[in-house]
Amino acid sequence: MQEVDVQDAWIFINKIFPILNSSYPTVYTKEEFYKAAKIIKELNLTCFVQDMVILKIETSLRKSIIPKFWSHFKSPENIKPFYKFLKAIDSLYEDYSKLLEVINALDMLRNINNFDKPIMGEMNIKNSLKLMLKSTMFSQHHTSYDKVISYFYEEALLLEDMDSFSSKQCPICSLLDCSNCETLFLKANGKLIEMSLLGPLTDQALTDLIYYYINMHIQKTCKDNFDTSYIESFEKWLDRVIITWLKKIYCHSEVSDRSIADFDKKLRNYLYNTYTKIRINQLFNIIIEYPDSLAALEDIKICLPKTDLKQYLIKKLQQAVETRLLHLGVSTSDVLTAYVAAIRSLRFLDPSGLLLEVITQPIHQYLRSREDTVRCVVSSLTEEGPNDLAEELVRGETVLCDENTIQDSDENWETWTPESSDHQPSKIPATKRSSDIISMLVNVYGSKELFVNEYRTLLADRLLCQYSCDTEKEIRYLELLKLRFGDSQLHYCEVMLKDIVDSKRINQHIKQDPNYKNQEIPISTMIVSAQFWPPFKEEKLELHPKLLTQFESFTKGFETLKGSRTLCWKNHLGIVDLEIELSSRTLSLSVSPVHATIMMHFQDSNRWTLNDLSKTMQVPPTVLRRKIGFWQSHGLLVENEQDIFLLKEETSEDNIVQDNIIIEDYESESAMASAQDQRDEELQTFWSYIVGMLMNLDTLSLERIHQMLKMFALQGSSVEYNIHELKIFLDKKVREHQLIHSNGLYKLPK
Amino acid sequence: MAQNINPSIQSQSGTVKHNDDSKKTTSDSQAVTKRLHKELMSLMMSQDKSVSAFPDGENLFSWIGTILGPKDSVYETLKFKLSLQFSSSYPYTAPIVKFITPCFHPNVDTKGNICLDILKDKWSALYDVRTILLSIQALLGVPNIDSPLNTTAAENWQKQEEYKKYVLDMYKEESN
Repeated sequence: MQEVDVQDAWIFINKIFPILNSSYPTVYTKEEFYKAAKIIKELNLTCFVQDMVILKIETSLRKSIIPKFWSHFKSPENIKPFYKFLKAIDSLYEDYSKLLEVINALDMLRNINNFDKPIMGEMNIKNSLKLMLKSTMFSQHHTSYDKVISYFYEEALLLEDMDSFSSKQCPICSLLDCSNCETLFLKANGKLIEMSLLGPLTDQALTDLIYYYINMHIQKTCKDNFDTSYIESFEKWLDRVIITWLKKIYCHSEVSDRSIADFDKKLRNYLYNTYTKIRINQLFNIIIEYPDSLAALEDIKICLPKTDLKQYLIKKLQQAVETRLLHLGVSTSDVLTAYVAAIRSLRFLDPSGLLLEVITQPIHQYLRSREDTVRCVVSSLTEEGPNDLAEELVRGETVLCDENTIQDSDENWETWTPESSDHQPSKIPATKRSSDIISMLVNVYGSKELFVNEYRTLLADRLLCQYSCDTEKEIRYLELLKLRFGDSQLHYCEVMLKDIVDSKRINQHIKQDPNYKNQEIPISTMIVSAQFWPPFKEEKLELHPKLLTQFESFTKGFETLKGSRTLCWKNHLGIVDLEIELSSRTLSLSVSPVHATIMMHFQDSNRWTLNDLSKTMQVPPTVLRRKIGFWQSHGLLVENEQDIFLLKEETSEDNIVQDNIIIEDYESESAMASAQDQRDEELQTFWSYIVGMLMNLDTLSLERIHQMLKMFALQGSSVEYNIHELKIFLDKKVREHQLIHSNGLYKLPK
Repeated sequence: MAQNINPSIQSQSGTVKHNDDSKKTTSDSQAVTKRLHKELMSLMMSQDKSVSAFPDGENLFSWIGTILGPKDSVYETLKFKLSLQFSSSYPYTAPIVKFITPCFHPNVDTKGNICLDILKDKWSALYDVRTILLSIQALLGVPNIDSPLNTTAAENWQKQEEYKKYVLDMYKEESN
C-alpha cells in the first residue's frame, strides 16, 4: 500500500512539476493539482518537493538557460549588437516565464500546505527566482559581454539623439523614419524590468555610456572653438537628450523619480566637470587667442566655482606654458605676446590676481633668463602699428614698481576662489595686485633703470641709423614713457633727442659761416653729447685725406660757435652717399664710412694690397677684408692674388642682383658696443684650444685645462677667465654633447 | 742653407764680443716661445682637423701631435700620436719628431724614429708644426721604399691587402 502510494505520488508530483523530469510545459487541472498537493502533504513531502524543484530550477538555469543567454553575446560579429542583445533578452524572458510558472505552482503548493520555509532567505519566492537568475547570470558573466550591452544602449541613444545628426535614417536598421526599433528597445527594457535585471545588468554599461557620450558631445562641439559660450546649450542638450531617454528606459521600473533626479544632478555635475576639464586643457590656446576667446573664458569662470578643478587648472596651464612657451624654439617676442595675453585673460578669469601670480611666475623667471627680453619689450613698446604693449603704454598709468609682489604670493592661493561674476570692480581693495601689464613686465626685472637703459640704447641706435632729424614721434613716445617712469629716469633720453635737433641747427649755422668753405664733399654732422649717450662701439678708421681738411674746418666752425667746446669725430659712424662712376656704369649707394673710404682709396690707385690698405686706413686686415667683401659682391673689386685687390671697371651684370640684401645687412649692425659679441668671440677661441689640447692629450681635468689655457691661450689677451666660469662653459659643452665628462676628466666624444 | 741660420746670432757674432751668453739664450728662447705660441694659435684656428698638436703639459717646447691616417691608404681610420721636441734654436733646427703610437711603416723604425728628409737635411725654417705633420701624414700614404728603416715593412709594402691586415692587427693590439 505504501509502495503504491509513493509510486502514485511521484506520478502526481511529476505532473504538476514536470521540471522534475526536465520537461515543460505544465498541463494539469486544478483538481489534479489539489490532489497532488494533498498527497504531498500526507506524505509530508512538501519540503522535499520544494528542495527538488528549486534544485532543478537552479540546474536548468546554470546548465542551459544562462549559457544560452550569454551565448547570444558571442554570436557572429556580423550581427548588430543591438539585435544580439534583443535576442538574448527575448530568449531569456521566454525561459524565465516558464520558470515563473513552476514557481507559481510551487507558491500555490506552499499556500495550500501552509508551508513557509523561505527559499534563499526570501519569503516571496518570486524574488527567490529573480535572485537565482541574477546570481547565476553573474557567475557566468564575462567582462567582454559588457561591450554588447554598451553597444545596445549606444545605438538606442543614437536613435534618441537623431536630431543631432540631422539625419532621418535610423542608426540601427538604417531605415528612414523607423519607429519599430524604438518600440523593440522599450519592450526589451520592459522585460528587463520585469526580471529585475535592468539595474544589475545594465547600470554600469549605461553609466559608462552616458559619460562617454557626454564627453564626446562636448569634445565634438567645442573643439577649436573658443568664441561661443556653451554652458546653456549643453544643459539643454542634457535635458533634451540624455534625461529624456533615461526616463523612457526607467519609466516602468520601481526606480523613483527621486533617483532619476539624483542621477540628473550627478550627470549635470559630470557635464560641468568634463566641460571645464576640456576647456582647461585648451586654456593655453584660449589664452593665445584672447580676446577672441572671451566666451570660452567666461564659461571657465562660471564653471570653476561649481567644480573642484582649480588645482587641475593651475597644474595643466603651468604644464602647457612649460612645454609650449618656455623653450628655445619660441622667440622672445612671441613669449611676450603670450605673456601679455595671459595677463589679460587670467586677470579676467580671476580679478584677484592670485591665479595670475601663480601661472606667470615661471614666465617671469624664464624671461629674466633671456637676454633680449628688455630689448624686445622696449622695441615693441615703441614699435609702429597695432601692438598690445604700445596700446598699454598709450593707456597710461604710473608704474608702481612694487618689489614686494613676489613675496606677496606666499599668501595661500590654494584657498583661492574666483570672484563671482557679479562682483563689482570698484569693490576690489586697493591692496590687490597691480595688474597693469607694463608694470608687470618691468617688475620682471625689478628695476626701472635696466629698462630705461635698454630704451636709451635702442633709441641711440635708432637715431643714429635713421640719420634723419624726424624726432617728433620719438618725442611723443618719450613723453608717454615719462608718464610711467618719471622725468628723472628719462632725462638722458631727452638730452639725446635735443642733441639731434640741435645738430640740425648747428649744421646750418656753421655752413652759413663765411670762414667755412663748402668743399666738394658736403657733410652734415650729428653732434651728440658724450655724457648722455650710451658708449659707442669703438672702431678705428682713418678717413681719406680729402675729407680731413673739411672735418678740421668744421671743427673750427664749431669751436668758434660754442667757445670752450670741441668736436671728437667718430669716423666709423654715419652714412655716406656715394656715386661711383665707372667706365661702364654709374652706381649710387648709401654706405658706411669704412666702405666709402675703401672706395676713395681705390680712386687714387686701382691696386691695393690688404696690408697697405689696412695700414693706411688703420683698420685691422680681417675687418677690412670683410668690408672689401661688400665691394667684391658688387663686382667693383676683385682679389687678383692672395691679399691683392684690384678695381674692376667692367662688370658682368649678374653680380648686381644681391646688392640690397648686403646693404641691409650692414646697416642693421648696431653702432652700440655689444659686450656679448666680444665675449662670444673669445669663448670660441678658447674652445678651439680646448679641442686642440683634448685631441692630443686625450683626457684632462678641469684644473689642467684651466692651467693650459692660461699658459697657452690667454697669453697676451687681457681677458680674465676664472676656473668657475670655465666649468660653466665646459658643462655647457657637455650638455651639447661636444664633450664627455667622466671621473673628473674631460675628453672629446669619439 | 742660409735661411736655417739665425740672423741675430750671425750679426751678434760678427760685431759684439762681450755679449753675455745667458742673455742671448733668453732672448732666443723668447723668440722661440713667441713663434711656438703663434704656430699653436694658427693650428688651433685652422679648419683642417686631420692634423693637430698641443703642448704636452707645462713645457711649450714639447708637444704631442695627432695625425689621422691618410684617406685611401692602409692607415685610413687610424689615429697616430707623435711627440715633437723643439730646441731653443727652433725654427733654425728641425724639431725631433717621433711616433708614440707604434707604426708599421717602411720609414719608421720600431722605436718610432722617422726617416723623412725635411726633418733631417732638407729642413727649412719656413716649415712649421703644421707642415711637418702634413708631411708625415703624406709619408704614411706614400713611403720611400728605397731607404727603409723597417725592411720587413718595405718588403711587404707591395702586398697591400696583407699589409693592411697586419697594420690593423698591430694597431688593435696596441690600443687594447
